[in-house]
Amino acid sequence: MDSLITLKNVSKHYGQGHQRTDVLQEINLDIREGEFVAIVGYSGAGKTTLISLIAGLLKPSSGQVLQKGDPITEPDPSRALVFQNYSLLPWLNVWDNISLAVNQVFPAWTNQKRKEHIQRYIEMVNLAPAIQKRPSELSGGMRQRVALARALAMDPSVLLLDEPLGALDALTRANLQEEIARIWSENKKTVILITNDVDEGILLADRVIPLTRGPGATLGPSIQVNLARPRNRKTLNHDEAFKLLRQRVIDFLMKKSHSKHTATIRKTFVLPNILPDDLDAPRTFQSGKSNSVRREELKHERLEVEI
Amino acid sequence: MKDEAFYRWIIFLKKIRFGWLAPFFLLLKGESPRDQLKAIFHGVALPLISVLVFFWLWDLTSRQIVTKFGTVPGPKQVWSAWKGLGNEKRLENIKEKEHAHRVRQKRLKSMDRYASVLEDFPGEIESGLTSPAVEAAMNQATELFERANELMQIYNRVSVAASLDEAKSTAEGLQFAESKELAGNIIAKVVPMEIAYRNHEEAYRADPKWNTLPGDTDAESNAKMDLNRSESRILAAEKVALLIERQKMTTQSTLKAFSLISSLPKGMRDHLASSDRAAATMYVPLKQWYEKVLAEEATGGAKYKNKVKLKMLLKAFENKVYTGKDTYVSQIYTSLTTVFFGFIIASVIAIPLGLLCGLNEGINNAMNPIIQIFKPVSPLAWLPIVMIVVGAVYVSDDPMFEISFLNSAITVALCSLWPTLVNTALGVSTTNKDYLNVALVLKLGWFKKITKIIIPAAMPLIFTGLRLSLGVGWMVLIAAEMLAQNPGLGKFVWDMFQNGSSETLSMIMVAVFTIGIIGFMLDTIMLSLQEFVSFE
Repeated sequence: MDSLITLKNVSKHYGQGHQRTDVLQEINLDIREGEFVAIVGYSGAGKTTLISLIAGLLKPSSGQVLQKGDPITEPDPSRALVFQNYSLLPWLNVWDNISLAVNQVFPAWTNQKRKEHIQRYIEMVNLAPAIQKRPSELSGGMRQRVALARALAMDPSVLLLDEPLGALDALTRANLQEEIARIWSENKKTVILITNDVDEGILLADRVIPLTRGPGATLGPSIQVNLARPRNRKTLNHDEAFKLLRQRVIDFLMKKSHSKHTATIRKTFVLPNILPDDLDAPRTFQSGKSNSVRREELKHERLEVEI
Repeated sequence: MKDEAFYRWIIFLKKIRFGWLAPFFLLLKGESPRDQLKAIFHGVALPLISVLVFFWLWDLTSRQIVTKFGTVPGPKQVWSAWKGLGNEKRLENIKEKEHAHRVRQKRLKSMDRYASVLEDFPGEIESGLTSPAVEAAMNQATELFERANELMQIYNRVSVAASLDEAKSTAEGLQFAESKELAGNIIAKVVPMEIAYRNHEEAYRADPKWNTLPGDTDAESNAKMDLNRSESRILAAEKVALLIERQKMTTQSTLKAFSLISSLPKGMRDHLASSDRAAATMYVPLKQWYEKVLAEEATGGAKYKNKVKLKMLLKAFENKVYTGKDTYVSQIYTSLTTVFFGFIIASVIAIPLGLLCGLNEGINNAMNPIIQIFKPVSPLAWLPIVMIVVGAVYVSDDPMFEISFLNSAITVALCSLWPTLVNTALGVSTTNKDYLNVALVLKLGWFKKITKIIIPAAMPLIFTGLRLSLGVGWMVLIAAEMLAQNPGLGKFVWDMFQNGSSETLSMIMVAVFTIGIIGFMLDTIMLSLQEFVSFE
């Protein structure tokens, strides 16, 4: 199996000494050409750190990040990154934002060819009417489309999407998910999608990999999504296979970390012998005392102990 | 899409800081009149009321205070002082016209009285052709003419020559090295033509249009063309020489004509008297003549009998430009040029330096103490240093700038440097991480990263700095002009203060309002510029 991106025992920590925080530990990942992989995890689990490692914006503390067997040392247009906050240049309009990338990546092309290329990707994300607009004049969804078009126009060998839909409202989100699915089916690019939305991951990806809760997060077992494409959100919600997959991912994410041991301490609490007054009852001067009932309840308390 | 154009206009108004006009337009359009009236009340009426209240309070309190120059002037006195300054400008214009009239009368009088000397004007002075450029042109033309003549002679000899050998020997017989080369060229070009001529001798006689003659080879026609060209060059050179000759004669004859000045038509006389340029054309030859007369006298030659007359005539044609005192408008103009000059010096230094500081933390740390120490220094402390240094360094017989102008401008630059420097450095160093990530992923080079990402991202802050700098510069300028005696508003205030007349206070208050209004306008202009470069 020829893999495009490989992570071997990658760990990443920030800071030194007692300020040291381990973000990622022992990450092993293999991504094949043309695959759509979703990495699903909690907010703050280190998802952005993981994608930054793959993009080359960060260097691993230990282990190796490889692209076709060569170590990744710096960012490269062949691994286009779409950020959660769009990262569009606000002083440039839609066309100029994309053409900056295209001019940089394809300096040898003729102007005409570049123009056609940019036009094609703007049309692909349905932004033709907004070509002259600046990012501040666009909605969040439209901005993310521009960012997507810019990344795709760079013709990367792998597209890295870092919670691209995280800042969008639910309706725009659903729309853009469909759009991403359509664009992927047209391009068949390798995609790594980082998300905190399990449904989104399953809807879009060939493979969903859960990332455990940090600090020291690591990847769980990859879960193959064999649902037929194109996947329809409405029918999918009632699909048994989909439900099962979702359950598996959620179960893994909810399950306590393997390195943690939990103990349950049973303890009985006797709650005070007080009942709140019944305000609906007709008021009498003596009611407060005579109607009270003794409550005794058993409460369990669970305690997590890290060993 | 008329509506769209209308709203674009409204947005534009707001951008150029004329947003207070917008509710009037919207009201005309009938858009929610209540809101518009409220906006007009807030944007126009309230400021107007507060200004009126200020004037009223000023009028009320000013009369109470008595100084050594009389009572403190109220708005009315200041207004009349302002009008007085307007009259001053008109007065200066009248004075200038009067001056011109006087000069004209004097020249006419001198011409009537002394023009008879011009009959003695020596013919050898080739006046009007004395500038180096004209001399160079003349020399070149003469050289060309000589060469052309030479060429002509060679051509004539060659064309007359009956045989090839004769033509060659004629050319070779020439003595000069340059001519030899020329002759060689001519021979090389003329010889094929000669052969052709001979071969087609009969045809030539039959048909003078030998250019279109059949049987000409390329070489032959080229030779003919060359010959034609050299002929035309000779003609051109002759023309130039002729022109020069004619010009020499014209100058002489003009001066001769002037000797009969009393008989000149009135229009010509008037022109000669009132136009400074016309007077200058007279002045140059007269001056040469006068100097020649003086030189002859010095070497023991004969004294010229009409020397005094000549001197008087010469004096009448001297260039007499009116140098009146500075008007208020010209003082405002001087102040504005000074502040802009200083501001440009400051920007040229501060923006690149700020860029460096923002890009490199090390440079920033190194520069920081210098910036922090010099930033709070008052212009009054800088000025003496600037005056001494400029006075020592900028020594020139024909200075491009007045020293006092340079002193003020450099002081302005020193004080207005810092806001731009600090803001540029801040803007560059706080470039959004996301934009830098874009540069990283795209692998933009160093230069592209700065021009395409960092500078545009820092633009709003750079402009904030520039706006602050211009404000500081304008404020500093008045103090600098006061002390450096640069003829601007600051000097005006100082002069008025020294004057000590009953109008002193009113005049200074006019200056205060002028300074304030101009400062406000500069700030408005910079704000609207900032509006156009910002991208939020």
